[in-house]
Amino acid sequence: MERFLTAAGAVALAAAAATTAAQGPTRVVAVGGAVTEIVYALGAGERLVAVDTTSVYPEAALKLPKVGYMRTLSSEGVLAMRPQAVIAAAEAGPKSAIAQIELTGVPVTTVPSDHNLDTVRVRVRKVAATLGLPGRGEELEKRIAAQWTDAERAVASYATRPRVLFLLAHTGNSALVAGEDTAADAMIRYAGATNAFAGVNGYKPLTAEAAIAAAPDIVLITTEGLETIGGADRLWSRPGLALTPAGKAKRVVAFDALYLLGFGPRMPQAVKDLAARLHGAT
Amino acid sequence: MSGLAARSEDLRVQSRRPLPARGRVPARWALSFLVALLGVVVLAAVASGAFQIRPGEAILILAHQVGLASADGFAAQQEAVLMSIRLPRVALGILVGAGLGIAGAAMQALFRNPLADPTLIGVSGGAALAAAAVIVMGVVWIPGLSRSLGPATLPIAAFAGGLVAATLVYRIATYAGRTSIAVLLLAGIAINALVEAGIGVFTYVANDEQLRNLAFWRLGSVGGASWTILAFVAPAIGAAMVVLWRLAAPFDALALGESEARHLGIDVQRLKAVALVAAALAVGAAVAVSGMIFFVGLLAPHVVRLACGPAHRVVLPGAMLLGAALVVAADTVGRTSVAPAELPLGVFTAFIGAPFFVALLLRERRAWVL
Amino acid sequence: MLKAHAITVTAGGATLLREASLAVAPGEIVAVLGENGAGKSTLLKVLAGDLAPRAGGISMNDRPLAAWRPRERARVRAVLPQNAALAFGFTALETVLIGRYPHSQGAPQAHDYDVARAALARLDAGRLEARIVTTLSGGELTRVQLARVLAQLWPGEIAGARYLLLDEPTASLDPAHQHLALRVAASLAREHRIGVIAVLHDINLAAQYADRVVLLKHGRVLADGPPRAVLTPEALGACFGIEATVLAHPRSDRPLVVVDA
Repeated sequence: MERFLTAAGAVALAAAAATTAAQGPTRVVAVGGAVTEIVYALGAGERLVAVDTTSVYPEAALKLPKVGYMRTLSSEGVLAMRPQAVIAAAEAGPKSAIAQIELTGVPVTTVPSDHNLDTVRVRVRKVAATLGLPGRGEELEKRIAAQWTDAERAVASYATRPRVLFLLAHTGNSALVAGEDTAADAMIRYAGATNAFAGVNGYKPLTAEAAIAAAPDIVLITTEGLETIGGADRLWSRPGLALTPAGKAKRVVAFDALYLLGFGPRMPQAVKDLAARLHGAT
Repeated sequence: MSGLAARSEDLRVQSRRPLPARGRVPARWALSFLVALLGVVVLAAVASGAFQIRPGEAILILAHQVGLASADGFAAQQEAVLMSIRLPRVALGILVGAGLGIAGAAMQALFRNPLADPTLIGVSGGAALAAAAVIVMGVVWIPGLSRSLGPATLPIAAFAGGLVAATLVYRIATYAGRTSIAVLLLAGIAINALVEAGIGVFTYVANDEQLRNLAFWRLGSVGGASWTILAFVAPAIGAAMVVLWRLAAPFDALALGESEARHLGIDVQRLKAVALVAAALAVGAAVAVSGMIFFVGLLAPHVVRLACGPAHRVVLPGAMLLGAALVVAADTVGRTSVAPAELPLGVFTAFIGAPFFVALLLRERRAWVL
Repeated sequence: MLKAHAITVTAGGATLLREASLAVAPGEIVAVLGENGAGKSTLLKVLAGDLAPRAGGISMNDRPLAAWRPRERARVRAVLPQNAALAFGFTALETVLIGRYPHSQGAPQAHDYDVARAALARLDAGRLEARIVTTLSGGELTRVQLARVLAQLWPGEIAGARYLLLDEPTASLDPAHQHLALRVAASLAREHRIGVIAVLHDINLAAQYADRVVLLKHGRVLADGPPRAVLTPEALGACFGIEATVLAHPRSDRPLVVVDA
């Protein structure tokens, strides 16, 4: 049965390949905020027919049809947009939906989601290759490299290394702290600061004692997260936070989630901005 | 009459058909209706979806598979979507729904109570917990096992988990041949609480990818269907269905009590063991591929019983048919109502099932002998 | 013969039966009498195979009970329990049809339906056929259950001796139906060679219908014999702790027991 179906898929694939051979796919679905950003940065935004709900930048992306949340895609939903190619971040899922999309002959390019500068480069390269725009891809890479050098210089200019606690707020009452191996941890370190929760791995629930022991100087949070909590004042009523250095001085820094943690083309700029805000706040 | 006539001819025979009780739908009508209902639901399911395939095109695609039509009337991608995404999904829905339906009916026969349901009494939870354990701990916990069982590790673990939970609940809730419904439901609550706690622990230690896999279990979805998965699940659920269907008459006898069933020549211990294992197999296989789907095992047999009476000759096949129709219908609504996103089908079965369950409880209030 | 020999049953430190022996021959009606807790139901449960005795053995038609295969045993011995489980709302006819299981194996034929209907009619329950059992009164339910065991032992189907065990079959019946039930048992015994053991509460019913009466007290058999021999004021006093006068029944040759106030 599988062999037979792949035949139908193969026919579809061949048809798709024929039309896209020359200039790359013209109907593309992007899954993942950073992926969408890269497509627009390559000047290929008009090729996007749909994106996922995490694709909130640039503004043009907000006007595109949505195929749902990145981790809970529906294969038929994506295919209904008649894409010739799908470009997805590594966390896109469920895996069965991705497999189903590929089974019908639509190629799915997956870009890595590690939390480092190299990932940004690889992402740009892969997206550019999929779109058939290697030249523009190289240009974008060069621009990003230049911005990175600039950001590095800026970070090196600061003398202090503030202790930062990153808070991920889902719902009203639960909050998670970012330990090592998270996007937030990587950005904090790139920005010349220390992750106050470096001893733990991944996201762990916030406890009062742990927060006080970690003694962060600054609380870092996404603007969306701060909204969920209900503003800076409500933030300090979280367990233990008020008794930390950050809490006593009421030092909180908020950034847009995709900008800060997306590891898209704006990443070097985000590092520079973050460093500035973190060091300016102390 | 002084004596008892020994031969049929001497008996006063009124008619050869049983007199249906007032308000009951005769078996033949009901089963025919359910088959037709399932047919309609399946057709609607195959013809609906986020991806546009008109009913006519769907028919052409299917005809083409068996060589009755050319490939002209539809696009290659429509064929691919229908055959590798939609059809397996509908087929899985039928299997899972039928399996849960008949497992529910079997549990109700086993516990001699119309309120027993695989999810309520914790059997699905046990299966889900075992599956979660395999997902998060599998390789670490029993190193050689998952390697040797390969892709079958998850369904086998789910089956084992369901069986353990079913046996546990049975032992707790049955004493001196009587099963207390209150203890049954409480045992189910306890097991479900344990499952939540266990899954909570696994969630805590799980890495990102495992977490994503875990989230799947709580919702209930047949979206991951593929022909490979069907090849796996169909024999398991199919075998369970066949085994349970053949127990219709012993189940009727069991309804009179375990001793009574024994007096009628039934090996009651064996009946209980076979029914429990088969039901756990059906539930385990269903949970392994589609997560926890609530209330189908309660709803389907109960509706059939309400309409046609409790004879298992009707209730068992009826529960299969109605269960399948429910799951496929819920899944179809789930994937078309908010397209291109999807709502898990468990949401709809819960929406229908929970109020139904409450209505049942209210009705039974008068006769509460908990 | 259905024979119980020297049955001893203990449960949780208490001895429910002490070396009790009992036998019923095909065609006989044996009534078992005793106070509450004397061991009547226990004895019946042992005969029915529901309870394993600590000591002693049961044999049916010269074979030990354990040597019988379940299905053939079910065609030869039927048991009417004291309480019936009513988990589901079967109709009376469906309930009686379940009694045909040892013969029909779950696929009832027209003959099974005929037998079921006739059994209901014989117990004066024909008009209850389509009623749901959970809506029946205690007496109606008992008659339906009696019809069920009757259908299980329907005459003419098996050669050889068969047995019917009744645990307080007259408990919730009104007088007319009490006698109806016992008349059915009597005709089964006399005309169809079925051995009947009935646990009864009513001494006079036992006197009128039984060929033999067995008195149990504290798990022991006090007396075992024809009614006129067993139902004496002394024996009744020892068994029940009552003062009784035994008269001759005006219209039959059976004793009539009157308990003094």
